[in-house]
Amino acid sequence: MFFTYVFRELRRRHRQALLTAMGLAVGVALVVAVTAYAAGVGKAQDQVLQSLYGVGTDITVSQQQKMEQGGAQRFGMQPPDESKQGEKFSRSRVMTSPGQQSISSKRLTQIASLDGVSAVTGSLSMSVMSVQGEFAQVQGGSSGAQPSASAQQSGDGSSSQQGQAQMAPIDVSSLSVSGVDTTELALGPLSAAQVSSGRSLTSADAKSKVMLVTKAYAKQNSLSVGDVKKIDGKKFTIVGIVALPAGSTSSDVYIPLSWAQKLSDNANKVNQIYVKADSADDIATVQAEIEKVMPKATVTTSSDLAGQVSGSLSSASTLADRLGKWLAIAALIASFAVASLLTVSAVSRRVREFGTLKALGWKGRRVVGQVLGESMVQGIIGAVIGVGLGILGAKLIAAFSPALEATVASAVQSGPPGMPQAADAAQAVTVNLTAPVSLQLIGVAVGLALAGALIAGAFGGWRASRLRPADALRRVD
Amino acid sequence: MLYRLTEVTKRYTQRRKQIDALDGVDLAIDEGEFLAIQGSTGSGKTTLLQMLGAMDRPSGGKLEFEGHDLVKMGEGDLSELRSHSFGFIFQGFNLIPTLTAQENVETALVPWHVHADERRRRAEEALAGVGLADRARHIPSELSGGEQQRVAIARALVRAPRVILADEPTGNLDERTRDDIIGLLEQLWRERGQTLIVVTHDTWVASRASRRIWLDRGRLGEEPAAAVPGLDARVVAEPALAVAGRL
Ligand SMILES: Nc1ncnc2c1ncn2[C@@H]1O[C@H](COP(=O)(O)OP(=O)(O)O)[C@@H](O)[C@H]1O
Ligand SMILES: [Mg+2]
Repeated sequence: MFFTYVFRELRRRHRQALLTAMGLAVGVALVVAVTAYAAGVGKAQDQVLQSLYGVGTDITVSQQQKMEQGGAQRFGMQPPDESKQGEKFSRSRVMTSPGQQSISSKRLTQIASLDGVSAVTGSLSMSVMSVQGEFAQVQGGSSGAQPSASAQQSGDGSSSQQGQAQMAPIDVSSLSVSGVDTTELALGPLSAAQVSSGRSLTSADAKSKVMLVTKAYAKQNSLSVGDVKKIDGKKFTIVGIVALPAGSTSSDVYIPLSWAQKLSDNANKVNQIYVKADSADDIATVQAEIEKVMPKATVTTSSDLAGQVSGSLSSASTLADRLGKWLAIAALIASFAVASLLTVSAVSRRVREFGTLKALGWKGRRVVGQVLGESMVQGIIGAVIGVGLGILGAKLIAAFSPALEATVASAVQSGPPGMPQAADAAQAVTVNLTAPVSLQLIGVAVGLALAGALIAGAFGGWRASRLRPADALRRVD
Repeated sequence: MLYRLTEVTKRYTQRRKQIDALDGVDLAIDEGEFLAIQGSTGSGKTTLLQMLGAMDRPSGGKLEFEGHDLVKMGEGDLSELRSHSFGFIFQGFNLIPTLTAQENVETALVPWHVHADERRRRAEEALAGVGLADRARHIPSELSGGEQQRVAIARALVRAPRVILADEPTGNLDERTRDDIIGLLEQLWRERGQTLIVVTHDTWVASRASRRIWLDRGRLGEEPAAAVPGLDARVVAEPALAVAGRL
């Protein structure tokens, strides 16, 4: 009887019922679309942060170097003696990333012991400049020219006209290398890496001369797993090729931390610390604690970095946060109000009907239940249509929104800086916007539609409960 | 004695104006009576019927049904009483427009929580009793006025109530259908011995009753002078004898 009555009534006033359901649907659809959009923007932001920062890292710690220490590096390219003039040479120079001072590994244990810290790891990134060519033929004596090449002035040899004239072609190349803690790869520069061939590094590799090469670098230099690559004269075996998220500030190659420390003469030192907090709520506290322990260090949290993200991505995020949220809430309230009004008016047109049922001895709650039942069916229809519309809307947003660009000012050193010139350059990343509709979101949407129906049904039921059996005799129609 | 009304009043307040729809009614109704309540429009007939049917409580006085004072009963008890003791028939039929004849009759059994099969069986039986077995699957708008009122009568009878209360049951019907419906009610009354209380301003309908009372501005009064006493006395006597015979 209950369902028969509910469905017959809804069929009788199907236009009005559909209107009520559509009202709820539009509200719910907006919530789905806006939430999906916000989730997409959030995901894009995560993607940007991950590529700049690494997955799972909550806080990074680095220490700025005093300016005078970052001067031009000189290669030992002065010919040892005149007899070697014109001979081939190959020199390389290892230097830790300019602008970043090395930090003692003891700091790692110190940070690990802080409250709220779940994991800590350090990495040491550096650049290896190699120069290959022939020693200049110095004419008329040995005192004239001192060929020098500087990393920062690569190719700019105008310092000495004389030298330039005599300079044979010199091939300058640079390789960025990161030393990583092979026991803690889930945190740090390789956390977002995906092995595309070979294998990753393991704790057993801690003291081995093995390396991972990024896909881009491997392609550029035709390297594959099993090849041997020299860094500063030491031979490293390539055990894996890894892919890092687009736009990430990755190094070209990754070697065990101990070897990076050896090559750069930085025993027991790192220049970037990665910290993972116990929970998101702990991040601020941990940041403050680290700042207390290391007053000179730059302590950056992922939200600090998110705050520095600018460009269309950040406008999208603002849009999703401000306009989207309020639009969805307003639409939801409006749709609930419309559904309630329509339901109450439907009940008002059935005064005599409900009065008759009460005269027949139907209890008030049975009549209210009937009104609620009708409303809930409308809510279910509204939920189905609303989720459908919402998913459609989300798909349209994802299909028609342009790729988002994010720019992060690198005043804060984020991730292992590759090339020296990266020191103050802004990093731009382009990501495609998605608008994912999760099962959870669908659940929330259905819940909202049903909640709206329940509210509308409650108003209608309240109206119906105020009717009296004597209303059966009222002449309303 | 089924009903005993003592100084029953019902006061409505509308737009700060007070109307005494019933103004001190004293009345006793016996079990098995066919009582006609007559009176001009606005005299309080419907109001009195509502009080008798426990649809509303009097504002004052005492209204005893089987010894229980309805004035002192709560909403739940009144609802319970309505579902067990009373059957209502309305001028406008008051069927649920979306439900079939069969389902409309079943609505009367909903408060009893009887099993669906039992409910269906009883409703079919009641419909057959008013000669509508073949129209069970039609919705009200597919039925004539007379057929709709028969469905309403089946709905009232399906619970086999102690009292059937009808408010102008033939007010919306033509003369021939009116005769049919009154004939049916009279027949059922004779067969079942239920108390039948009919509000009407139709003299012919009232003439079928075993007793007639007149309401005038909320008070019980004398038969208006316009009526023909001789005819009335004869018509009233017949059903009264019938009652006596059954008792
Ligand atoms: N619910 C109500 N509210 C206010 N006044 C009412 C209400 N019901 C009836 N009345 C008034 O009470 C008086 C008697 O009404 P009613 O019992 O319907 O008379 P009848 O059925 O004899 O035509 C009328 O004056 C009517 O206007
Ligand atoms: Mg009336």
